[in-house]
Amino acid sequence: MKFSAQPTKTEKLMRDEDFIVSKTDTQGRITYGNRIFQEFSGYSEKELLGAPHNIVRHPDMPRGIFKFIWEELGKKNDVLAYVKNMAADGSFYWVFATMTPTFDSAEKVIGYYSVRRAPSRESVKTMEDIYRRMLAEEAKVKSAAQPEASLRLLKQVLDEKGLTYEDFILSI
Amino acid sequence: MKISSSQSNKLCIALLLISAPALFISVWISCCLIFAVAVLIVLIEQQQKLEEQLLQQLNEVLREAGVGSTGSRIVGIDPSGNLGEACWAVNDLLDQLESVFREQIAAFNKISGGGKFRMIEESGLHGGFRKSANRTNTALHLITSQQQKLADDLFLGRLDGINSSGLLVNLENSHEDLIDVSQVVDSLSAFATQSAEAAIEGTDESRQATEQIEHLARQSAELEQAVNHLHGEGNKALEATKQIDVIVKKVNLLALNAAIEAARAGEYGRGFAVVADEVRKLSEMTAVFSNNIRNSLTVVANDAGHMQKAAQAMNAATQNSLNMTYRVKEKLDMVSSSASTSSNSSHLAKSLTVASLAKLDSFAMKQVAYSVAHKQENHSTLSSGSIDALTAQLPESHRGRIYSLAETLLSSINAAVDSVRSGNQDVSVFESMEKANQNIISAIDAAISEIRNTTEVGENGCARIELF
Repeated sequence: MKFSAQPTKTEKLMRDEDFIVSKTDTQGRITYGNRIFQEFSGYSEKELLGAPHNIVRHPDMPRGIFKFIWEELGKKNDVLAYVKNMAADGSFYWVFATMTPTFDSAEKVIGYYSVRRAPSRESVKTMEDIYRRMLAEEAKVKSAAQPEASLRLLKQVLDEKGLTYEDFILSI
Repeated sequence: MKISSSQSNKLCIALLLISAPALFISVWISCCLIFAVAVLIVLIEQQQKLEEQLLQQLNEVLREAGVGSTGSRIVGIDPSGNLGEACWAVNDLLDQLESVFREQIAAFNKISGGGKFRMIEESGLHGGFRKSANRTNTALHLITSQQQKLADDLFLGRLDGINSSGLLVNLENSHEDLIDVSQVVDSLSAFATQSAEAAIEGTDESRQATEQIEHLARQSAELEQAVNHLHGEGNKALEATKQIDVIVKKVNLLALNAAIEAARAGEYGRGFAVVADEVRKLSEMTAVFSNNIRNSLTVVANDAGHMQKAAQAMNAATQNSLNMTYRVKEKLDMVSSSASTSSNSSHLAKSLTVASLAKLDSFAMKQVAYSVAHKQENHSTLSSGSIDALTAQLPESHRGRIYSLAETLLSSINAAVDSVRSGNQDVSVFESMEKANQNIISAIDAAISEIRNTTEVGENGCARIELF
């Protein structure tokens, strides 16, 4: 059922008060999605529950970014990211996502929590350009080497600016 | 639904077999009614089950929220009724609440972990949650500005620590330098004193030598007198020998007369009496002359004794004055060697002073960086002028190293100033600067130590003076 839709050029814009919340288990399967998530993704609650979170992944997103996000979450860190998501009807919507692990009382990770807010247009423009370049890097190599290749480019961009990933994300 | 419909069909067939066909329609209506009621009952039961489930979830979620756990949500709400709406409202509330909690925790963790300040994202939060996030952000701003001030103070404190320990070492070094300079100046003054003493002693010895020489002159005059006297006495002896010649001639004549008288042997006595008288006179004369000669010779002997003594005295005086002269020469040699030692010491004292100034300059230069860190104006310029002046006096083997160390020091000071001006709180650049300063100080000390070794002053120099 994932990627069944073909991406279209239709964009849905998040409003300032829109607040997408979703939860997944440690495998990335959706355990909760609020109504705004349902509205933007175009999937019903029933469809969302139990589905992998990459149900809304857009092909314009480089694989390296998701590798980075999962690595950071694996280190029990918070991750901020600008993400282009794809709805069930193939339209897309940009979000500014904050992802955090959820711990049980023994500090063991039992799932992940993600909030998505309306991103500013300038930030989207900046990230769109970086993601396009990362995708171009991924296109040059075999599938298995793609995440590494695009992350190298991201690191290069950050080194040029002399910023960490999070500082860069908060600066744009 | 199939099961209930087949059941109702069986019921209908049973009723049809038993009852009259007239009743068929009414029975059919009854059947339909019963079927509808059954369906309604099932639907209501399902709805009740769903609602029961939702209520149970709602109850559970609210109970957890009541004890501060905002992680649970109500799921499986479709299709939504009034209860569904209520469930979604509870979920929305928990979404907002949990997000605010999570972001607050993340923000405070960032600050307490020493990380960079991160604000809570306000967009997407509603009403009171947004206000709460806004207040939290204000507090975070305050905390971070306090934290920044604390970090500034800590940074400046650490710099002050580095600076004061650096300065302490610098002061100790300067103190040692000053002690060195004062020791060299002391030894210089000791040389001067000893040179003066040696000069005074030399003058003294010289005066004594003069006296000795005057004494020698007197001895010499005395000797001359004695010689003159001896000469006179010698002449007298010569005269005496002339008289002896006369006596000898007269004795010869007497002897001739005696011989004649002896020939005329007749005339007895008279002639002999005359000869005898003459012989008596002769003998008296001889006695007188021989006395005179004896006297003269005695005088000559005395004079010779005087002369001997005078010669001895003169010899002693000569030796004495010779010794005196040697001593004076030695003293004068010493004065001259002291003078050359003093000149070396002066050179060392000058080198030490310039070295000390060069060090003080390097200490002052690195204060520029500390002043900039304290946001104070510092009008000192970074110039290695005094270090250049010093290096000109140092052994050539040390110059290149000290020049390059001076450049390293200048660039490390500039690096520290740049680092502070660009807002970095990097202590390591200051530590590098102190290290560069230490390196150049050590190199200057090594060069000075070489100068000192080749100058031969201090204890050895003093000991040599004291020997004398």
